[in-house]
Amino acid sequence: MRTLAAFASIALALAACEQKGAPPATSTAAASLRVVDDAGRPGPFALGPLRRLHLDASVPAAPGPHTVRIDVFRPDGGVHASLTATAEAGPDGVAALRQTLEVAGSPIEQYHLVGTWSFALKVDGGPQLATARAALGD
Amino acid sequence: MSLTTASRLARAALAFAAALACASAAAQNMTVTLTTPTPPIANAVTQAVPSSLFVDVKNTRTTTMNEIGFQTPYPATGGAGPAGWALQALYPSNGGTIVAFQVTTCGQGGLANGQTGTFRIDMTPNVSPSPSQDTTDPLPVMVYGAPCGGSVRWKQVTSSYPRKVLAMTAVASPLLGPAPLTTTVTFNVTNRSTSTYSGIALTGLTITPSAGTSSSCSPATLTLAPNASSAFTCTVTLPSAGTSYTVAAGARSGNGSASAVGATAGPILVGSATATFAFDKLAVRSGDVVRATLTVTNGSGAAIDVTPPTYPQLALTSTLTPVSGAANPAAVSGLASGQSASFVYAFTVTGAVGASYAATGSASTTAGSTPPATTPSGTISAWQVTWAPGFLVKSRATAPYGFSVTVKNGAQDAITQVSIVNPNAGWTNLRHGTVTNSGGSSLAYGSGDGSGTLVYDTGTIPQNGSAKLAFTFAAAPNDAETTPYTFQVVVTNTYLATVTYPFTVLNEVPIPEVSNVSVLSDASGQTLYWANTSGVGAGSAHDGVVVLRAAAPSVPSFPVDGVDYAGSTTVAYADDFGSTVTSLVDNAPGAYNYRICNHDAALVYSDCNGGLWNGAGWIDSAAAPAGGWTHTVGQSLFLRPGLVPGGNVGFASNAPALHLLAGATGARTLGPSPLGALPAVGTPALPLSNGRQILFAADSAGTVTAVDLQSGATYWQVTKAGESFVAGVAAVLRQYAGASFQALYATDVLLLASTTGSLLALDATTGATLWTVAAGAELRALPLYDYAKNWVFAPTFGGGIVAYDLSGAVPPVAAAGWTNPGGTYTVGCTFADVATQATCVDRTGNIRVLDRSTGAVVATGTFTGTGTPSSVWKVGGGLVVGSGSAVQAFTVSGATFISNGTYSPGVTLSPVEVFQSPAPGAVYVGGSDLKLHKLRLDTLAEVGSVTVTSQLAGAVLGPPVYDVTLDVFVFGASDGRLWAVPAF
Repeated sequence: MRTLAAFASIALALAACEQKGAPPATSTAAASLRVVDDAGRPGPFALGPLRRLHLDASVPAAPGPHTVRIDVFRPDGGVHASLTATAEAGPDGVAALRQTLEVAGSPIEQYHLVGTWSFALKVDGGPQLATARAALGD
Repeated sequence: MSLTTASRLARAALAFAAALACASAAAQNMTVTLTTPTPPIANAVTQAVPSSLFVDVKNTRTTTMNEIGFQTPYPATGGAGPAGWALQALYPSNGGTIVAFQVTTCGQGGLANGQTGTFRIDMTPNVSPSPSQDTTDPLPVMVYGAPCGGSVRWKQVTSSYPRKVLAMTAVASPLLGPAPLTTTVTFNVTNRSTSTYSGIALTGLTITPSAGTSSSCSPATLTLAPNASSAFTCTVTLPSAGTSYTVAAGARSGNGSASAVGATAGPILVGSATATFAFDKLAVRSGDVVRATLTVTNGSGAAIDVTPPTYPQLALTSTLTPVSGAANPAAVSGLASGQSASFVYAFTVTGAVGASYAATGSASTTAGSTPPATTPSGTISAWQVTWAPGFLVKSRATAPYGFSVTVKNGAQDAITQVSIVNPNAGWTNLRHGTVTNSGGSSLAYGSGDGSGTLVYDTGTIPQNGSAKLAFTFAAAPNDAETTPYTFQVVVTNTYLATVTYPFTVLNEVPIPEVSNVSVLSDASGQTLYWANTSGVGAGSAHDGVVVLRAAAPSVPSFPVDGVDYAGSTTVAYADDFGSTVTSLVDNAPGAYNYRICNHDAALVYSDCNGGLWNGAGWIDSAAAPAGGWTHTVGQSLFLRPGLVPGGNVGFASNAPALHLLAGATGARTLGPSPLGALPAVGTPALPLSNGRQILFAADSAGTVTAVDLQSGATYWQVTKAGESFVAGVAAVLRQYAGASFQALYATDVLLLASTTGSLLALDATTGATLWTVAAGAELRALPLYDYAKNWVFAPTFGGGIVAYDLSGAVPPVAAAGWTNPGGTYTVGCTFADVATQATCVDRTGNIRVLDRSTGAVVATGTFTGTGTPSSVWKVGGGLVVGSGSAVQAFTVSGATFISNGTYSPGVTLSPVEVFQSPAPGAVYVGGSDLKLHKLRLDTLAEVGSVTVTSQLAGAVLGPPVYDVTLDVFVFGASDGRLWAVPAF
């Protein structure tokens, strides 16, 4: 009987937890991922003058911290890197994050990895929310 | 209640009344006594309060007793019998209840001659009017049948028990804390009689264990009118860490006419770290597996290490046996104050119906042991009720979400009703689906479709029958992390004996992937490595992995949620029950693809469909080169490894991380050290003056990491906020520096060039910043230290080459007499044939030899291969320059560099590695044709190569490093694979 009472208490507590508070607001805007250079220009990019690429992600999300992951794919289709960082969504329900991919002097330049690079955005281990492509040439 | 059930109950009551009449005429064949209580708690009931009475029945007859009934004068609510017995029915009788028990299986658990069994009877004495003082109630006890055969002629025995009029509760606050703990215990007393009592005092205050404890209570006495309440407050000091205490007391009026059963507060846990212990299921059939979770909470105020008890260190009831092969939970290091860690144990429950199971354990911590924690007691049941699946993975399912409940009846009396109860918000529109009966069952849906409770009360489930009830929810909560929800299944039999079975259903967010996956391939086959990880929240702890394998190029399949692959021959490997295994030997040399999936205790698997070099979640083996090995970490490798000859080899990946392998075997030594971001190009292995061999790496997040190549331990890691390193790490080794350097610097010094334009000097033994200077332009090339002049030359990105004199001040000042020659650089300068000169190659391929005192250009040349220079090697009388598409060798003649040859095979090339001896010297360069090429140093003619393999079309090879002790080359590839091949 004590066991049953305990279970009943647990069930009530869980129900109470479920009912407290309203769902946090999230933006209705779609997730986006942009690739730009230092001047904010989108591609195509030329390897010669390019110093770095900025990957700007914006995601509708409940206020609070979120894990934002951007998978970077080389022109050969292999994963170059998975750039992961925490982004804080504000009261507006948007989490924004900039990741930087150095180019000049890096293996991208050393190995002359020109072609079409692609990028995929994921948040909190969920499905792919946005993609981007960037042409990198000489 | 359905009409069918009501009719069945009426027939049973009549039959029982007839049995009573017969029993009263028989000889007495049993003794009935109240079970001896443990003071100060009395074995009695309390007026108007739910109470439990414990009764010992001894069989003095030669016939085994298999059934018994207790007549209470007011409604009873339940009870429990000794092992092998189950509550059979609650018969309404004479305003009270006959509480009937029966063995669940004839021949098991019955009370033979001389044997005594203890029965618990639950009741609420709502007697009206209330008594004026403590009183006594009769307890007729009878054996009314012989379900297993034999005589039914048992004589009724009438015992009695006390009914108290003072109701009492006890609570303690706080319930846990470090030693010595002072807690307040409040005993609340309510007068349930019709008289006013004065002089009510606490009796028999008992602290268990008592050693070293102290207490003080007030007031001394209370006066209570009918139905009035008041409290005694006791301040209790509990001295011993690692101890679980209880505080109990009774109460009695001044004239002794009113008293209480007593009440107990606790357990009160004393210690800097405390623990709780809980089962996932409290009612199972014999043979079922239960999991117990020990949760340790750090209340010490500082981080602690926690070592959970091993299976042999747990105190278990005889009904629990550790699951075969279950691993002891792993220790947890650095548990932050206020945080909790959970440890899971798995047991098989065996025993008679009605037997209980429980476990007790204490964890060791660096703040002392936790007080012993004991699980609530579970009970072995005659009915088997299961809920499947025990989870919902919304990300992999579509609404409506289906579940089923299966009820199997192992008892003699038929089950007449099953109800499925949903008390949870967020789970909506519970809908009836189908009923699948077997074994003679005829249970059918009754009512509740679309509500919170489904009732199945038509037909029955007879002994050995079963019914599977399928149902759905239209929606489930949107949880950010795995969240448990409790549902109930209420089962009722012919005699209205009812048991409620709680089921926890996990609304699952899949567990994260295992981390640090890698595969070693050598002549004997493969060794797979991984690190087990857990998610956030209840139910997200790692429980095990499954490894699926397919011969390349086939891709491994995915595991199915809820399926336990342990022991299955369809997978390469699987484990569970909190397994701590992190490697697997697969004696199958060759090219295989593996998918390593993490799972939680509900056997819900990680997605295992992303990441690694292919972005698809699988990792591969490869045929090892003859005399060598290959080890993949699944993350791009572009950079030159560093090694201790004959010892470990370290390398940076785009994981990003630093990895360490045994150079001789390729085996993983210690787990990777994570980096802050993608690694910078230069990751040197340096012999420091203190004798340590350290691999250094810097990254684009400003983090600098030092790993001891001999021990594998992280030497230090620092982050220089705001900096971004692309070029990597250069160094000044103090023992080779001049007196002017040694006078100012006590240790070896690292030089780091940041894209912010900052040039930093770090203490190589601590990572502390010694100085920072602004170079005036971005730095993307390694600085060069001049051991003769004690100067540093820093080639900039667009700002030429700046020079600093380290002799005079900290931070250093611009070198006197140096004229910046201009230029944009992404590779560092090197020395020249003349000791006072340096050779630099800018981003467009212009080669310049500079006077190291003035910056004056003394010789020039041009790299004519396409692509930006990626490496520059000074060789005697000349230079080797490499890019992503060409290698060019030069000799210098006077003030001019003359090309001796260009190697341009039409594939993507790595930076080069040059060996000047033995003559004529050699250049090694990796290519996207998956070959490590060997070129003559003087002409760049190809003289040899070794070919490796990759499943990534267009994979490029990194620059090699040579192990002089093992006589092998070690190099990486963009598909994440490191190769060790015999020198050639």
